[in-house]
Amino acid sequence: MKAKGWKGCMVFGLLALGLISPGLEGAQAAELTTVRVTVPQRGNWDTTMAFVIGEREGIFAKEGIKLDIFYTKGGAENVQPVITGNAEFGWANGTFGVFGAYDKGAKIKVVSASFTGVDLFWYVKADSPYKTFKDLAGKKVGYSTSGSSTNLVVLRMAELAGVKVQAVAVGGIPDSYTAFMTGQIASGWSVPPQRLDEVRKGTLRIIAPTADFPELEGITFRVNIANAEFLKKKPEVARAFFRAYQRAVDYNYEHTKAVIPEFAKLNKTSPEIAEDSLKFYPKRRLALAPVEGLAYQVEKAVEFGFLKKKLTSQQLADLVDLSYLPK
Amino acid sequence: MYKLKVLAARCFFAVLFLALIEALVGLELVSPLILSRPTAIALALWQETVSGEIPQLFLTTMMEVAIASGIASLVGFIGGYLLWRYERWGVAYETLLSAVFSSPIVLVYPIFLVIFGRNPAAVIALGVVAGFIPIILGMRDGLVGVNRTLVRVGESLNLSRSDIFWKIQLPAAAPTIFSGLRLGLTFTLINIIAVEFLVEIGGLGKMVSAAYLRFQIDSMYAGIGAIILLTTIFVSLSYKLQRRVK
Repeated sequence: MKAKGWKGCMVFGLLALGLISPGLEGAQAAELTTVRVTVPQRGNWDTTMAFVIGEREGIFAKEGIKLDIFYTKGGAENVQPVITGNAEFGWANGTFGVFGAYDKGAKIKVVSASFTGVDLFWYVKADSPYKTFKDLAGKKVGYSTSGSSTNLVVLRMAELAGVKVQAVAVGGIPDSYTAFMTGQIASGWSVPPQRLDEVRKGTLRIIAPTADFPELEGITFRVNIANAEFLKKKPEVARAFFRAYQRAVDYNYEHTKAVIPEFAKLNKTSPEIAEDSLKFYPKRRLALAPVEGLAYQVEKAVEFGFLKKKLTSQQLADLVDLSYLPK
Repeated sequence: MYKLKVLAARCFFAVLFLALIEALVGLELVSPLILSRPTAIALALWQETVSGEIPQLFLTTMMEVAIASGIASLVGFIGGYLLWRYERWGVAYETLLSAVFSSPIVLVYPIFLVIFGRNPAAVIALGVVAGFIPIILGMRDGLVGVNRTLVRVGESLNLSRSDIFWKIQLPAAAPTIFSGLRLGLTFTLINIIAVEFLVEIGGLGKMVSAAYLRFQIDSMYAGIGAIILLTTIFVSLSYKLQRRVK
C-alpha cells in the first residue's frame, strides 16, 4: 500500500513537472529577444562559425539574444530583408550593394566591418606553366559576377601586378571550377575551404594568394549592416548582439581545435582541410572595426554602375555608425 | 466593336492594377526599393529604349528564343512522329518524357555551361531541351488520337499512305499538336529567361539580374516589362499560327 502511494506521488510529480516545464521554457524564451540575421555563404568561417558556435555555447543567450539566421546567396538577396525590416542585421555584405541600396534611400546603417582583407584565391592546374599572377597576362581569369568582390579583387591584382588580364564572369565557386576544368578560363577563383582539397592533393596550385598583394589588406570588402529603425528603437539589443558576437569570435579563436571538426562537418570536408582554411582567416581580418578603404570602394562602385555618383563624406558618415560595437 | 470591347475590358484591369501600384508606392505604403511606380518604370523603359540597351537585349533574347523554338519544334515534330509511327517506342517513352517534362530542367544548366561554355549557345541549348518534350508529346498524342474512321475513309478512297498522313491525319491532329507547340514555346521562353537571369548571360534576363544586384529597381521592372512584351508577342504569334492552320 505504501509503495502504491509512493508510486502515485511519483506519477503525480512527473505529470506536474510535465505540465509546468513548458511554461518554464516559455518564460525563459520570453526573456530572449529574437534577432534575425541574413547570412550569405553558409559554412564560411567568417560568415557562419561565430553564429553556429555562439548559439551552441549559449553565448548569445547569455546576452538575452535568440538568433534567427537565414542563409542567402548574398548580394541584394542578403540586403533586401534588412531594408524591409524582415531582418535586423545583414551579415557580410559586399560594400557595392550596400552603397547602391543606401543611395536609393534604404534606411540601413553599416554597423561594423565584417571582413577586412581578402580570403579569396585563384588557382591553376599543378602542372600549369603559370607560376605567378603576372604570368596570366592576357589570359582569361574567372570571377563571380560583375561588381562582386571577386571582380574588384582580380582587377586590383592585375593593376598591382602591372598586367592586363581578361576578367571573365563565370559565376559561383562550382561554376568557376567547371569553367576552369573545361578550359574556358586559365585560372579559377575560390574561397576556403572549397578547392583546398585539390590543392592538398596536388592537382591544383594556388597562383594568386592575396597575401602576395599586401595592399589589399587595408580594404574592408564585406560589411555588416542593420536596419536603421531597429537601431533607433532597440539600441541595447544591438549592443548586446555585438557583445555576444565578439565573444563568439574570441571563443572560436581560443578553442580552434574544438571548433575545427564542426567547421569541417559543416563544409563536408576533412579537419585537415578545415585547418588549412584557417590560414586565410587570421583574427584581425574579422575585426569589427575599423571599416577601411571605403573611399576607394565608392570610386569603384561608380565605375561598376552601383552608384551614379560618388557618395559624399557626409553621406558616408551617415551610413557608417560603429557606436554599437563593444568598447 | 466586339474587339474594342474586349480590348477595353483587358485594359480596364491592367490600368486599375497599375494605378493601384502607383498609389501604393506614391503614398509610401510600399517601399520604392521593393516596388517601383509604373510611371517611373515607363520612364526607365523609355530611357533604356532610347539609349539602345533594351532593344539590343530584347533582340538577343528574341533571337535565342527563336532559334531554340525552331530547333525544339523540329526535334519535337520528328520525335513525336517517330514515337507515333513506332508504337512500342511511343508507349515505352511517353511516361518517361512526361516525367522529364514535369521536372525543373533549368537546374541542369551547369551541364550546358560545361558543354557549350558561358555563352548564348548554352542558353539556346537549354531552351531546346525544355521546349521539345511537350512538342513531342503533343505530336504523338495528336496523331494517336485521330479518329480511325477518318483514316478508313482515306483508305476507301485509295489514298496513298503519305496522302492519308498529310491530308487527313496531320490536319486532324493539328489542334493537339499546336497545344504542345504552344506549351513548348512557353517553356523555351521561360527557361531561356531563367538561365539568362541565373548566369547573367544573354539578354533581358541578364538585365533584370544586373539591375536587381545594383538596386536599380526601376530598370529591373523595366526589364520585366520588356520580358512580358516579348512573351505577349510569342504567345499571340502562336495563337495566330494555330488559327491559320485550323
